[in-house]
Amino acid sequence: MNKYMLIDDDDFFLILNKDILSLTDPDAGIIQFNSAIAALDWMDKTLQNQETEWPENILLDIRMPFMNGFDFLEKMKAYPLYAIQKIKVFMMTSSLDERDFIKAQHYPFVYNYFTKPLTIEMIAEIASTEMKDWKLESGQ
Amino acid sequence: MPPKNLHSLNNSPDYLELKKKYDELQLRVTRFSVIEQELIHARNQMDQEVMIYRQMQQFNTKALEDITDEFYTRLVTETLLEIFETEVAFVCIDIPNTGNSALRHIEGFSLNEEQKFALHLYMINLFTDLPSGTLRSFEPRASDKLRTLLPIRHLMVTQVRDPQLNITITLMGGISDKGSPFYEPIRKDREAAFTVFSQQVLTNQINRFKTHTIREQFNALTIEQKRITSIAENFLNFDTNPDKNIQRMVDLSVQLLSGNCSVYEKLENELIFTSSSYSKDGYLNNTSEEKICYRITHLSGRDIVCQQITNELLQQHKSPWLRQFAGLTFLGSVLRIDKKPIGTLVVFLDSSVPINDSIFQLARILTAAIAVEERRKNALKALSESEEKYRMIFEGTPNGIIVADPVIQRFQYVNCSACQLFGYNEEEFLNLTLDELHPAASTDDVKQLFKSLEKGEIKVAMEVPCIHKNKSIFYADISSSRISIGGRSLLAGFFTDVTQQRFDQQAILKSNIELKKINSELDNFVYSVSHDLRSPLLAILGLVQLIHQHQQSDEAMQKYISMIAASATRMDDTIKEILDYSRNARLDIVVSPVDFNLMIREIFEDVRHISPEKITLKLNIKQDIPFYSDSNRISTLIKNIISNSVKYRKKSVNNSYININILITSEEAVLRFEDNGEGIEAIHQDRIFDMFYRASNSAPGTGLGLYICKEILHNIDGTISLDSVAGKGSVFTVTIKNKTK
Repeated sequence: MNKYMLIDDDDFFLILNKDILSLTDPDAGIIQFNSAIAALDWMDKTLQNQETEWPENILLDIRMPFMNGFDFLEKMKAYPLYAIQKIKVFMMTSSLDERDFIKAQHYPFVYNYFTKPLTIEMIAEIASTEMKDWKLESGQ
Repeated sequence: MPPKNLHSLNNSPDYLELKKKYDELQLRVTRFSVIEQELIHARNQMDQEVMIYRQMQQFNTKALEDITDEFYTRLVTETLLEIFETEVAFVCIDIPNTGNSALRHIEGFSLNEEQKFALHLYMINLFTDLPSGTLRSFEPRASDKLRTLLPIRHLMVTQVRDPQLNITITLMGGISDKGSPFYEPIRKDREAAFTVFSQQVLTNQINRFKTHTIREQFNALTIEQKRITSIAENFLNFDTNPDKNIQRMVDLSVQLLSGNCSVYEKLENELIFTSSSYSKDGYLNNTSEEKICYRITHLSGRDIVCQQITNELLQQHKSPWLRQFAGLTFLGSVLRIDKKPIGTLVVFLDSSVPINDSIFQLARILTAAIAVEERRKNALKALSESEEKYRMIFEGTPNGIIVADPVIQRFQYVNCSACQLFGYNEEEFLNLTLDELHPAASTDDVKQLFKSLEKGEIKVAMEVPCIHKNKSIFYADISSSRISIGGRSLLAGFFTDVTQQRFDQQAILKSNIELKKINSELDNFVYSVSHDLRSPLLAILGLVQLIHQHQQSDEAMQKYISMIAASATRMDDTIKEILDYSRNARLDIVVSPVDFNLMIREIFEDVRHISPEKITLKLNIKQDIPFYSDSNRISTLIKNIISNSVKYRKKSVNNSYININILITSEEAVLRFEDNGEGIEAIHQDRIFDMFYRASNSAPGTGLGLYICKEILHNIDGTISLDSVAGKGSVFTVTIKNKTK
């Protein structure tokens, strides 16, 4: 079962993304947050108690109030490596700004960068994205 | 004596004895008297000898005095007559080396020059092959040639010579026929004295000759010295104008060489200098004269030439001008600069002027002096040209140039730009010190800068503060370089006034910072706006994608369509807000009476529908006088605040309200908006008026609303403040200036 975590301040996109995910992958486990802070809170708790619930794919919006997508990525760095290794982050944005794209590449756990809206093709791509070999990565 | 006793006496033995004794006595007396005579004679002779030597002594004394040759020869002959009691005395002195004719004098008889010469010749012949000092005393025969010249019977003649100086002196004393019949030849005993006397005459003559030579040399030296002094004086009093000096040299050459006229002829042009004007005019009147002086000098093949201006020469050159100098001596000297002939200096001399080394030497010196002046003239010309060039650059440049002597710490030169820059005139400027050019506070820095400049660490000292005469400060970029003027190492500073530049630069920097800020704001604005505009669009795209899926239920379709509609509205709202923002920024302020009551009620009717729950509005307006301001802007302002209250109402309660209290005075309107909404957390309160800042995610929004409020109030002279407690509610207080006044 593919586990998805959706983070977007815009409720419309949360609905939209959940619906298209459910349509494409009816078995998908979906958890959604309309703020990055709420998402982090949940992750903190999950890491301590129910590790099995740990998300596999995070679809992260960039432009959000209070804590934006990049702030979230920064906080994520604090997680233990074994936990981070299990996550593939996909940036979801309406921005056309190249700076955001470049910035996103600095995070090793960001696997891809998508422009909204989420499409069936993107879901297929996410599903087929292999997890990185972190030993190689860290050995470099 | 009685005779009677004679006989007896005669015969007496006594008598005989007596007689014998008497005779003896007689003999003795006679002998004594002879001796006495001889003694007297000797004494007289001695007296005479003493007289002679005394006279000779007198002669010597007189001869040593500074007397002319004529006087000397006369003295010799007079002394000769006196001492030796002759009737005629003759002296002749040969000094062949001097080139002067021999000195001859006769005393006691009159002879003309020709006869004296003949007599001289006769005397010379008497001593041919005889040694010096030979004395001859003889009575010439009646047929003797001497007798045709002089009527003398007896003569004493001697010749003395000095082989070294080649002086020959012949002295003659003679007794004439006139004394006959009492004629008596010259006494033999005078011969020794005559020889002595002749020796004395020779000695004196040698002395005279030596004295004369020394005096001549001395005179020559004096003349030379005078000439040199004269040249030196002329050199010392040289004029700054080379042409004047050349003219002086030309004048001096005629003066020093005792010439008649001097000419300095230049090869390169028609200009000539002369010591007199007539020769110049003549020269210039006829072009055929051109370079005549050089031609004559050149012909000789030497640089200095001295020759008579003969008819031959005049015919050769056919110069009417040169004709005026016929018979004179042409002394020409070629002037050269770097071996190249540039002219000729000519002095026309009387043929009587002796030409010697000294004259040539002088001519060379004068020529050299003129050459020096010519060279100087060329140098001056080149100098004045380059000086003019540099002056033009020096004075023409807008940069201030200050040349200082670092050793004596004084300014040496300043250009007018520097004077203008600092406000001093040149004289004032040159009396300033470095400290007076820069503010006291920065003197050390300035000195450090100059050191760095000198070491070459920096090329230009930037924006150095300087003080104008009027105490105002200006800034200059200063560069410097070492220059050498007249062997002195000086420091030249080049000042460029950059005050305006600096001012502009600072203004540019300031506006640059502002522009950067604006640019970044704009960038941020575009980023945010594009995001906010794209977001609903992209949502619509996503929704359309979902609708396209065939297995959608009608219920789901309805949901998606309403979501599409909501997205479109959101987009429209965003566009409206941007328009509000733009309107505030762009449109002129229109002042009109503001009806707060009507305005607020209309706005509330518009926005109340955002909330599905009921919201109560309480409006309380205290107004005695009209309020004037920009209604449109105030309407936008109030709409933003009220809609926020509606959007961020507390959804957990059902008694949401908005209380609005307005107090209007002649000064201002104070609007107080109070709600019981979700409130704003303290950490956000400082930033909620920032562009795109969103303090809550509980309702969609752009983050522009309160920013637009702040901007509007900025334009219509107002303020806004917030008092809020999270979870309890917010109070916005707005004051707006009443524009009645």
